[in-house]
Amino acid sequence: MKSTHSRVHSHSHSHSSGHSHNSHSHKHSNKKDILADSYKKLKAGRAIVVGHAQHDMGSHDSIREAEYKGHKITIRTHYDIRVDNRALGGHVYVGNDGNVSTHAMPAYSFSSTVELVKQLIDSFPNKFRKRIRRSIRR
Amino acid sequence: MAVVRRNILSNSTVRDQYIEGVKLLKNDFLRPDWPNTYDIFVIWHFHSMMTQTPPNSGSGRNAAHRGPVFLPWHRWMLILFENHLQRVLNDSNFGLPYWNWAADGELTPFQQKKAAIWANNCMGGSGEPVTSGPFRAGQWQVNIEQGFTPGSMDPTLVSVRRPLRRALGSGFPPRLPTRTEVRNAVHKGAPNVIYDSPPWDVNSAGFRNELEGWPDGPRNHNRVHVWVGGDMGPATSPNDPIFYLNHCNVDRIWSGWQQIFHNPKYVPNSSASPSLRRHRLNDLLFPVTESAVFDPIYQGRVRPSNLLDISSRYTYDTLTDL
Repeated sequence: MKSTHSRVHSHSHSHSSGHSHNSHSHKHSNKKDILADSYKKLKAGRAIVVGHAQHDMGSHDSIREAEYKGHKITIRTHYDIRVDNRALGGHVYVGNDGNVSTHAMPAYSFSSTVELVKQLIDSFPNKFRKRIRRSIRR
Repeated sequence: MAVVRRNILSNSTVRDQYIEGVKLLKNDFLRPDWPNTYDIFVIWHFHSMMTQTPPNSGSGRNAAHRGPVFLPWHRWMLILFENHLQRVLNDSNFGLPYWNWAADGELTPFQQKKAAIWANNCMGGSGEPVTSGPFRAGQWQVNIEQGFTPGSMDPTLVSVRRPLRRALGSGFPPRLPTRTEVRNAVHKGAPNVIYDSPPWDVNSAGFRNELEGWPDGPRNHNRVHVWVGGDMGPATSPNDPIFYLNHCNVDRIWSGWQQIFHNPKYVPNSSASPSLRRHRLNDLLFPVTESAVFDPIYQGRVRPSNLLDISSRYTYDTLTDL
């Protein structure tokens, strides 16, 4: 059996909240056994969070890049999405054809972000279950 | 000796072996501190999908999708899945079958949902939960599903115990890709075909992106995920055994493209930007472990360049429809 390789690398991750753009860097280690770690968490009833979802801080920007007649075009798109007045952060990616997509439905693309959110609600109704206020009368 | 991968509808022995094999993998444990072998592939797929390349990618390109590595990464996944099926079936000649979904795409939308692939003796039918066939409730259990970070649409993995879900005929328009669509993807730009091109993502011109299905999408591979729906929708889509039959057909189409056009070069090459790490010709692909217990073939260290000529491992029964 091959020995486990230890690799440490750093990367930067940029994200935005509102109109300010921030970036930070942090270190990841691949030393841990992804499978053993995942299995341990799942058995303990804990969620496994991977990649940039580990440090969600609201909405993120989609960046489109294209070249045209020697010009480089960069378009950064920021979404502020709310469902029932509650902020819904995360990554929405915009393609050069204007279609949008997101991690949670990786094979889907939509011509409208409204359609994307509608499909999220259809596919994951539990996530969007409304909190029902009940008045308790004694 | 190379095994032959066949259309699952043309060989009942292979069909039954596949059904038996995936069920055996659900109860196969390579190590006591790992999940069952079937679920390892679910976890691997999720981790790869949530690993952005580069980490601050604004395009959503990840370690297995939305970029050049889409085809080789899944080829590796299928080779290992096939290897574990051979082990639990004790049959080194077993070849992973494929579902030629474009043949069903020639049927009417109503007929597509009733096609032979969804018969009780094959993959079973639709429903939330699935109530017919070998993967119906009580016969197949989903142990891991997609959850969410609070306040976010970014997914997590969580533990569950529930039956399989499918919603055949989902998406708009509610139909599978057709043979013409597949042929258009294969022959686009012929004879000067290209595998991929800048910006190396969902906006790229080239065969990879056409087959993955982003331009004017969802098309081809993406459309199959959307059309099956249910557990084929999220990043945990390997939960449904139809996942491998879909991807085996995707791999077959890639093999056909390679053969028809005499092995067009894989791009980007090794000298491309470091921002394309995990996607370049000689980059290591994203592993879930380097343990030979899970990956006795490559020990988790494989590159696209190792996966371009697979003729010594497997062939397909036919490529003539491409």
